Amino acid sequence: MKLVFFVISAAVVYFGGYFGYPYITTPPHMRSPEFEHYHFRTQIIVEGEAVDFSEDQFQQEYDATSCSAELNGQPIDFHDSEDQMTHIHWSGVTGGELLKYYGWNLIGGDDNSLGTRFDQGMMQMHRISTIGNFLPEIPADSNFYIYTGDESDYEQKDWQDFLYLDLEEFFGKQSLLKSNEVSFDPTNWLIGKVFAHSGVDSSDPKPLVGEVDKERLARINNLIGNAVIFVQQDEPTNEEIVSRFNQLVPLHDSTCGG
Amino acid sequence: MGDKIIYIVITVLTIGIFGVILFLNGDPSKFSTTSHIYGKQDSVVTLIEYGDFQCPACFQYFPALREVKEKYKDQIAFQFRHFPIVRAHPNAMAAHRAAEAASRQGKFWEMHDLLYERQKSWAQEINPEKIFKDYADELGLDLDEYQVDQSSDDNEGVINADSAQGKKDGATGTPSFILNGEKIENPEPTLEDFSIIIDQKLAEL
Repeated sequence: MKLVFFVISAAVVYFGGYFGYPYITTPPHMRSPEFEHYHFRTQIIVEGEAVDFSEDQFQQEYDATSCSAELNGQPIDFHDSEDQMTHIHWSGVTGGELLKYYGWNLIGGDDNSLGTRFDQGMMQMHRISTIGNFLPEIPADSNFYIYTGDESDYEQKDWQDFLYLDLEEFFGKQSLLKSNEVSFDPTNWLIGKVFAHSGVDSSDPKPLVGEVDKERLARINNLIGNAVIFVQQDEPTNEEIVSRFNQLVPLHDSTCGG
Repeated sequence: MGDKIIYIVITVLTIGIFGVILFLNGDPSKFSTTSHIYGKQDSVVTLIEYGDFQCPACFQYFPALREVKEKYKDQIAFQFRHFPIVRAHPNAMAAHRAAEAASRQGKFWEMHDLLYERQKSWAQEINPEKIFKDYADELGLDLDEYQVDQSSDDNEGVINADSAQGKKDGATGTPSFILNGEKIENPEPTLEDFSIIIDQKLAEL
């Protein structure tokens, strides 16, 4: 009887730890990701030097010859050799997760993972590995200053909000792609599930009445904002900030299929 | 008495398990897939395209497929099935509804071509239905009938039936091509590439 109790207890502890620990340490939006695809332009300036996201280590390949109906395997990516243009593919991603994905772990947890996915069944749970340690070293005594907006109108935002809020909430603008479908389904735990996914379209639509080109381009790119992040000891001057917002990469009529 | 209880429990459990299996795997849809076929209706070679009218990749394939259809119209059946990826393409379902409504009046392929040819002018519109109604007008459809058909539940039912069949056929995105039941992996969007594949299939028969 004691042996049975011991075996059952050991099994509970083992499986509880094996499945339970990654479960409780993974945010819900990473455990069971849902389709999303929006963009924002990111600039990170470390002691006056801007990170160039068009460099190879940040760039991902994607299949431009089809519109995938499945969830993108990566929550975040950069592609088409374009600097700044950040693609978010899963709902609920935070700025802290973005930074961690490319090497700055400012939100804790495993440096090399954003958590564990459980949406394809318990037996197929797997880690969401980060891309690598590609962001420059953070200088000692640095502070983080973040601004959102554009060249004509910007504001300073709370750094902690950037790290921990859903980016749509942080920017105060919702993606145009809102699904009514909810990917959490108890049967996912037993039966693997395929999720729908695809990209934002390439297209050159005529503008809506009264819509200026800037708004039109933001809409067809599903752009929810621009973020300029300074990593330095002292608060940046207005000139420095405006200078960075003047260097936003231009939006195109054609964005991507991935 | 004890045995009876065991039998009852087993029976209830068995019925319950069957119920769950039926619930998870059953196909409650009363709708059949569409049969939009261009070319030789009774051909032994059928090329199915699972397409999404708002998909930019499908737009890239459209010119080549038009050439394929013309070149092989006396030899093979070219079938289009709906596979709108609604999470990514908010206007796709409306476009597929428009095509199905046109189909009720015998103008499926005409609407299909218009939707692809002019994808750029409606893909990012907030309210594309008006544009589709203009297309229906341009094609000479009865607009009252079109309006009723495009918004009908039956219309959406057959579109969803196509999508469900697409998943069974292995479509994971658009366009997906199935030649006599076999998925063609990543064909180039050229007449030449499709010709090689189709000629090979015809030669096998």
